[in-house]
Amino acid sequence: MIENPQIITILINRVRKRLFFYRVLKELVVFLAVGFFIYLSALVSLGPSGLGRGVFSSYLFIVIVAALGLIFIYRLRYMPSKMDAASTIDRKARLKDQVLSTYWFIRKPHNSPFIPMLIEKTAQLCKTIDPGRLLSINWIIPYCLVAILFFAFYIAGIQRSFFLGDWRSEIFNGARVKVSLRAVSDPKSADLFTDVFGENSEDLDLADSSLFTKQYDENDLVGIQDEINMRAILARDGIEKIAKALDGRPEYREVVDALRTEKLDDAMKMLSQVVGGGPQISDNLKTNEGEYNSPSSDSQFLENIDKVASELGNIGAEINEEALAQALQSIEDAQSMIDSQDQLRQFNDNVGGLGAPPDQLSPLTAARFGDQANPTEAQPSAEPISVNAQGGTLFRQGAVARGESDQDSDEGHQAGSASGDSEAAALEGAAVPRLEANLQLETVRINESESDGRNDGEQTWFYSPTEKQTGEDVNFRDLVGRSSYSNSGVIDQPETPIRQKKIIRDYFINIHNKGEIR
Amino acid sequence: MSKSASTQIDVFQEKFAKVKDEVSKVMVGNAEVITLVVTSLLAKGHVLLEGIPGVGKTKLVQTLADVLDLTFSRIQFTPDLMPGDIVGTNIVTENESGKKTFEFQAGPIFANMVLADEINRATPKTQSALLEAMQENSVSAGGETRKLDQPVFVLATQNPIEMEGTYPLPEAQMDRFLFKLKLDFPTAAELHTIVDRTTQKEEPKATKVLEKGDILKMRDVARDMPIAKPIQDYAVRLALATHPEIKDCHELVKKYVRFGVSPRGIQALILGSKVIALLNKRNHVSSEDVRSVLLPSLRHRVLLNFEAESELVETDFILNALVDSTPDA
Repeated sequence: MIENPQIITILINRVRKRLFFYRVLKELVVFLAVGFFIYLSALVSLGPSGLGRGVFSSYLFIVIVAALGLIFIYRLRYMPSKMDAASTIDRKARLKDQVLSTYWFIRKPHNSPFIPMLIEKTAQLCKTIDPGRLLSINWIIPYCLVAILFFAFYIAGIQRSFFLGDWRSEIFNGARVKVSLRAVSDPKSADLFTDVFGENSEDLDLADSSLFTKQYDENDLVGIQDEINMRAILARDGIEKIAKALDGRPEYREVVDALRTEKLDDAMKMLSQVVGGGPQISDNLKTNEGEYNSPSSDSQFLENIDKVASELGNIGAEINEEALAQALQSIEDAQSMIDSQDQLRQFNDNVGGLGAPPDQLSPLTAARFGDQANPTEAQPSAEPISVNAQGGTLFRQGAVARGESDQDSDEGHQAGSASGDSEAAALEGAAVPRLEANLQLETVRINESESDGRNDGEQTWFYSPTEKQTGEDVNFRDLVGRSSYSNSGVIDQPETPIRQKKIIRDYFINIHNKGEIR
Repeated sequence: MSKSASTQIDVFQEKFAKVKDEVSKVMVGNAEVITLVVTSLLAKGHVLLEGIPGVGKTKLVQTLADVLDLTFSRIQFTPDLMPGDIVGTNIVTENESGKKTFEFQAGPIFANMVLADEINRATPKTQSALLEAMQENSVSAGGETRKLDQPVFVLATQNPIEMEGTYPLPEAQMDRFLFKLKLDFPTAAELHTIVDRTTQKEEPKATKVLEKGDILKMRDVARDMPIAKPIQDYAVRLALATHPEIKDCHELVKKYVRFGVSPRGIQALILGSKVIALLNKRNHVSSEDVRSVLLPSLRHRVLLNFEAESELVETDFILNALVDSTPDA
C-alpha cells in the first residue's frame, strides 16, 4: 500500500514532468516563431540590397537558428523543482499552499501535531487530482492561432507579390539558375538560350522569372531575347538557302520540303541516309574539321551557309559527301538556333515575359505620322513590347529627321518616311542614313540562276538606292535586320496576334526615342 | 494524534466563533476588526485601535472583556497621567500593631485586559510605562518586578483627527502592538442597527462564553500551527520589501519610507497568520493568511518620511503595492 507521503510525491513528480514538457513546448514554439520572424525580417530588410539573397541568407538562417538554439538550451537547463510543481498544483487547484506545505513537512519533519493530519488530508486530495486536467494544454491555442495567421500571411506573400516582392522565390524556393551574359557577348554555341539561361530553363515557372528580372538589367534581357530571335531568323534564312540550293535536284525533293516546313530532324535523317548514316557524318565532320568552320559567330554561320548553298546549288556537279555533311552541320546549327527561340517562347509563355523596356513605344500612331501640325514628342509607354514575335524587337533603330530628304535616294523617298513618300513631319531628329535605310528597306530577291540561266546558286540582293549606301557596311545587327525585313511576313505570320502586329508596326513607325535623336 | 489535532482545530474555531458572535451582539459592523482583535488576543499580542470618536472603540474592548471573563481595567490617558497611575505605587500602610510599612498598590495594568483609552493624550513618559508590561508581561515598581497575570491583553485607542495636545506614540511603543486596527465609520444600515440597539430601555449585553483557561489553551494551539518555510519566506520577503535601504526595493518604498518593519513585524505576520489559518479550519498556514494580516501587522511599523506625509501617502497604499509586486510562495 502506498503511503500518504508517496502519493503526494508521485503527484508532484508527474506534475513536474508535465511542467517541463510544457516548458519545452512553449520554448520551442517561441523559438520557432521568433526565429522565423527574425529571419524573415532580416531578409525583408536586406533582400532588395542583395544581402538577403543566396549564401548570405543561408548563413543568416544558420546564425539565427544557432543563437536561438543556445538560448533554448540555456532556458531549459533546469527542470522545475518539486517545490515549484507543488506550488503549481496549489495554484491550479486553489489549495492555498496545502500541497506545498505538506511536501515541505514531508521533507523537513516538524513536531507540530497538525502535520500528520495535514499529510493525510493532502494525500486524500492528491488522489483526486489528475495532472492532465490540472495542467491543460489549452495555453498553446493562442500560440497556434498566431502561427496559423503567420503562415497564412506567409502563403499569401508567396502567392501574391505584396509581401516580399519579386525576389521571394529565391528566399523560399531556393532556385538557383546561373545566367551568364558571356554567351551574349561572345556566342560560341548555336543554342544561345541554353548558354544564357541554362538547361531546362524553359520549364521554369513564374516564380523563377524574377531571378532574371532581378539579376539582369531589363535591357540586357531584351537584348538576349533579341539575339535569340535574330539568330532564329538567320537560321531560317540559311535553311531556305539550302533548300533553294537543293530545289533543283528531284532526288532531294523530300528534303527540300522538310526543310521548308521546318521539319529539320526529318531533313537531316534523309540527308544522313543519303550520305550513309548519322554517326559517319559526325566522323566526317571531325575529319573535315579544318574545312568546315564551326560557327563561332553569326557571320561565320552565314558564310558556312553560303558555302554549302553554293556547293549544293551547282546543279551540274554531283553532290559530294563532304558538302552534304557540311549541309547537315549547318542544318543542325540552324536547328539549334531555332530551338533556342522555341525554348525562349516556352520560357516566356511560362513566366509571362521577361523585362522589356517600356520606352520603346511612341504615342504616335500611324494615323498621326506625318502630321506637321501636331508634332509630338515620343513618350514612354507602359505597354510592353512583345518578345514573342519571330522578329523579336529587332535591333536598335535610328531616328529619322523631319522633312530631311534622303540624300542618296533617287526614287523620291524622303527621310523619315516609313512608307514610301510620306513625310516624317511629326518626327524630329537627325537623319541616320544607315538605319533610316533599314526603315525603308525594300529588297527584291532574285535568283539569277533562274533569270539569266546562270547556275552558280548565288542569290543577288538588290536594294533600293537608299539601301545601297549601307550595303557594304553590314554587321550582325544590320544583317539580322535586313533578314527580318526581307521576310516581309514577319508581322503577317498567322500565329502572330493582332495586338503584337500592331505593336511591331507602331514600333517601326514610331521608332524614335528622344534620347536617341542625334 | 490526528484526531486530537483535528479536534483542537474544531474546538478552536468553535470557541472563536462564539466569542465573535457574542461580541457582535453588542458591536455593530466592523466584523473584521472584531476578528482581528480576538486574533491578536490569541496570538499573545496587543492591539492599537484607531478611529474617530464614537465608532465604538471603547465599547468593543469592554464587550470583549465581558465575553472573555477576564479582569478588565480602563485607563483614560490624559496629559497629567503619571506612570505610577498605570503600574501602581507603594503606599504607606499601618498594620494593627501600628507599624507602618510600604505596601504596593497595583495599578490598572494588573488586569488581564487593559483599555488604554486615548493613549496619545498622555506624555511619552507615561506611555512608556506600558512598554514593559506589554512586552515582558511584568511590571517593575518600587524596586520590585511583578509578573502580570496571564493573559495580558492591552488595547489602546487613539483618535487620529484630534491631534492638538497629543503625544504621538514613539516608534518603540508602536512596535509593541501586534496589530493596528482602524475602525471605519458605520454604514447607514449599521447606524440604524446601532440606534435601534442603544436607544431602547435595555441595551444588549454580552455574556461570558470563554474562560481564561480556554484562551490560554487556544494560544497554545495557535503556536502549534506549522508554517512551511516557503510561506515563512514569503512573509520575510514582504517585511524586507519595506526597507528602503535594500537594493532593488520598490520605488514607493524608496521614495516614501524612512524605516522598514522590525523583526517584531515578521513575528506579528506569522503569529497572526497562524491564528487566521486556524480560523479557516486549516492545519497549515498559507500565503493568503499572511496577506490577510499584512496591513494590521505592518502598517504601524513602516515609518514614512516627510515627503510621504506631505503627499498624504499612507502605509496601507505602500504595503498593498508591495503585496502586488512580491511573488508568493
